[in-house]
Amino acid sequence: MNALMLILTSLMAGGAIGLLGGRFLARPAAVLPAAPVAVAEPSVDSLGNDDFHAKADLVASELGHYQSFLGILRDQIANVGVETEGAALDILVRLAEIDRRIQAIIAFVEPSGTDDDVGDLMRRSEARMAESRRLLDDFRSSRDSTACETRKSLDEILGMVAGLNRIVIQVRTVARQTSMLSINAAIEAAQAGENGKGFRVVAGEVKQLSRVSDQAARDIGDGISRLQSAIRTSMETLVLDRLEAEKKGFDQLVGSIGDLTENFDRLIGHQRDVMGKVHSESEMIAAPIMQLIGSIQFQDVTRQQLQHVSQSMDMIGRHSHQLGLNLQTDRLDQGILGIEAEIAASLAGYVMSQQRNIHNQSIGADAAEDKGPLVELF
Amino acid sequence: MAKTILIVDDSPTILLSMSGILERAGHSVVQASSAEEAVAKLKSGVRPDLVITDFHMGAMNGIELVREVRKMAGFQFVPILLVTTESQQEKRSDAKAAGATGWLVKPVQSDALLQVIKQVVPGA
Repeated sequence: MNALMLILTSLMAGGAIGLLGGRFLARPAAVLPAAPVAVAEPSVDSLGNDDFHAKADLVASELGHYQSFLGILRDQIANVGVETEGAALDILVRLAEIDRRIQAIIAFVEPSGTDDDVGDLMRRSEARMAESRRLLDDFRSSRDSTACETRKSLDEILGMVAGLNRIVIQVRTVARQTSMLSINAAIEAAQAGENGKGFRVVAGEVKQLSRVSDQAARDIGDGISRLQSAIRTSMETLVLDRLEAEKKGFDQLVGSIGDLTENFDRLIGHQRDVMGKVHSESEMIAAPIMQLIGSIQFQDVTRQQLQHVSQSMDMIGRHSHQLGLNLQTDRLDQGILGIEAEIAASLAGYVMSQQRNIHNQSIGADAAEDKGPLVELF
Repeated sequence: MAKTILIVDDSPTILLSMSGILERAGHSVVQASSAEEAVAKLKSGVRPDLVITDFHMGAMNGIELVREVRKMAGFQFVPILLVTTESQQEKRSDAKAAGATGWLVKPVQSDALLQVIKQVVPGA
């Protein structure tokens, strides 16, 4: 590059300015070499002037190399396009896979999902636990009712036995009154003398009968008391104690189940919180993934920008090559537009407002651009 | 409601990106990597509810595709969106005159794209 600049400077100092003004020394076009051209060493004549044609050959050769060098750069840019496209597609495929997995998680923890989902499983478990609690409460009520009825029955039996005791007391009262009556009859029989002899025998028999009756009533009373005691003992031992033991055991069972239910409720609540959190977080992750999938379109935007740069480099290569060829002739404008016209053509070839703005800013022009809305419905 | 959408673009990145967004939204996607391929698919019986096409493609560009589709029987009223990096107002006017339904500038975010589809496709 430095050598080229040196030569161009030398050319201009030695008369090439005239070339730019259209007063280029005549040179047959038939001898134009293909770039890169063979370079002749510049020589100096006896007056000290540069050998112009030798220098022109040198410049043409250098300009010819520009084309090949720009071709290399163009290939590099093309490769960037290929690489970024491959990477973008790979990112898209991976993002799609991540999105698919997140959607699977969301479906799994969806609160209003199908019968197979976790939410429904929790709902069914809660319903089962509530049903179990209801059954236990019903059973406890039933057992309490049974215990109460048993105690009532026992009291009724004891009441009936107590009723028998009252009858025994009445029998003994009758026996005592009969004994008193027999004593009075014996007294009356003694006062009647010989006439009361038979009556005295009857009074003695009655007294004996009352004594036997009283003894029998007393024996029955004792038996009833033992029966009362036996009933109370056996009922309290066999029924009430057992009911009490069952009640105590049942209360412990209810307590344990209550604790279990409470823990299960807590567990379900925690599970529901976890599921809700997973659901909301998954939704939050899924949204930017879709945005990322949309943003990957930048690769196509970049590809088009690079494509335009690549086309411009082709133009520069062709232009410089042709310029080199023309330098060796007297037709400097042969086969090429002026570079300003090429730059203007490049501006017309842009598709993005951003490209036009950068272009205009670079050449110091107004960045006037009729950029419309990003979305426009006709 | 799920719709069938034909996407036409010569960029594999755009085809995959758009398809990902639309399929995620529940739509069915048919892809074509050129305007010519899109025309062939329409002639072979594909009946999209919406056509989304790039502008700068191969031999036939997006506006030419719009004109071609509008000439085909049964496609006069199918919405066609141009999604492109092109920003010149003159090109937009050409697209409108050709019968396009709308113009979106790349890159298009998913929510903006889906919102536009709801506006131009009945029941989407």
